[in-house]
Amino acid sequence: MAPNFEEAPGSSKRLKEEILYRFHSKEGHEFTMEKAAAELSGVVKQISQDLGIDDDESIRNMKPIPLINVSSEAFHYVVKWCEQHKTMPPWEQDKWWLNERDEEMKKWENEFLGGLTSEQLFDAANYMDIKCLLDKCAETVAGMIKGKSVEEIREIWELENDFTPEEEEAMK
Amino acid sequence: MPSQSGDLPFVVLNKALRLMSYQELARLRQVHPHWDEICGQMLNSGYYQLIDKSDKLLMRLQRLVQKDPGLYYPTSVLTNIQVHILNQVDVMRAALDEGVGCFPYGILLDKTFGFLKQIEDMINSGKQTDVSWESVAVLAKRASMHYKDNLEGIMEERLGESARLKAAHKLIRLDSFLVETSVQKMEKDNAKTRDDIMWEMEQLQQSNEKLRKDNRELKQNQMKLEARIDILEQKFKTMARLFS
Repeated sequence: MAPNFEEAPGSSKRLKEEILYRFHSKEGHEFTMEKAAAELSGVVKQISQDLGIDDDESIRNMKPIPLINVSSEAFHYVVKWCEQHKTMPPWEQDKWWLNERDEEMKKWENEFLGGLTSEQLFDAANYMDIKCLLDKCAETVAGMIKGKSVEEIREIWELENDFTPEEEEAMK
Repeated sequence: MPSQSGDLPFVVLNKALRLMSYQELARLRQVHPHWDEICGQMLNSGYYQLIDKSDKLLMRLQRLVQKDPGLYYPTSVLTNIQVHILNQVDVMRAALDEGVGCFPYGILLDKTFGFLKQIEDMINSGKQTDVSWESVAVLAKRASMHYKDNLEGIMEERLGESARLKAAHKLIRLDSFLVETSVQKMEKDNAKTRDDIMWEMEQLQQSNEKLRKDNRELKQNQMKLEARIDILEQKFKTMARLFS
């Protein structure tokens, strides 16, 4: 069932006191995200830096950020993820083993991504440059690949066998 | 959410494949040409990392073993790994260096990285653990034979093609160098001719100026002479009147 965006965590009907970034999804829906959560996105950080937005008042007065490649559905899940991770220490991109998460968070993440394997979410995470979500997506994809036969993997990702018989033979 | 489908973003796929063992990567090359490329690059980079790590570790051990004879065992194990595993597959190096193929024996990378880790632990802890490299040496021998029987021909063909392309590329560069040199020479000649003409024009302008000046002087002299002639004419006329 498609999520109800009016009741979603990113719905624009949020408390006025909160410092919220506003976004426009591909379909034109307006979403909001709390400052700490939104700043998990490299794109949001970059845009704020480029526009010289460095105080809460400027964020409140900022126009919605258009996310032309992110669907409302995918963004709904992105907001959920970011709100859940907003209090986490900064994500270590290179030293990934330092990114400790407690058991409760790991459980939440697994449940969150367990049912979602949409490329839309992966695309959104990639487009918005959310490192922790990208790493979790990669972990999920790795889990889906591990131990599967080549044919099974092709089936999961709907990939054509584009090799010539000679190429296939050479690879065996 | 909608169903799973084909176009995984490159970043996600790349990160996911980095979580795989080299043996898995070697197998996953068969999924799709795009996967083949990514996995191939990771396998090659793994091979170079392994060689580099092994060389550095051996140098370190050779320095340390003189002070600490307890390190004789890991040194001899690492020497054996170099001789019986890494040297066996060194035959592929040319193809890898030229980028015409990838290192296909992921299991060798996984196992040998494991041995290097054991050796590092031995250096750090001072405790000896058994490293059974012999079975992997057999695998490396088999890999080397497999390469010679099945892949060497293909790689040589690709190396030949790569050499041909490089030669063609060099010829194109040589051609363009020649064209560039000719153009530069023509430009230089052109500039020299232009300078010569400019110099000649300058000379002509100077002569012209001088001629004008001479002309002006001549005109002045002419006018002076004409004035004198007038005066003389007047004088003659006066004299003629007086005589008559």
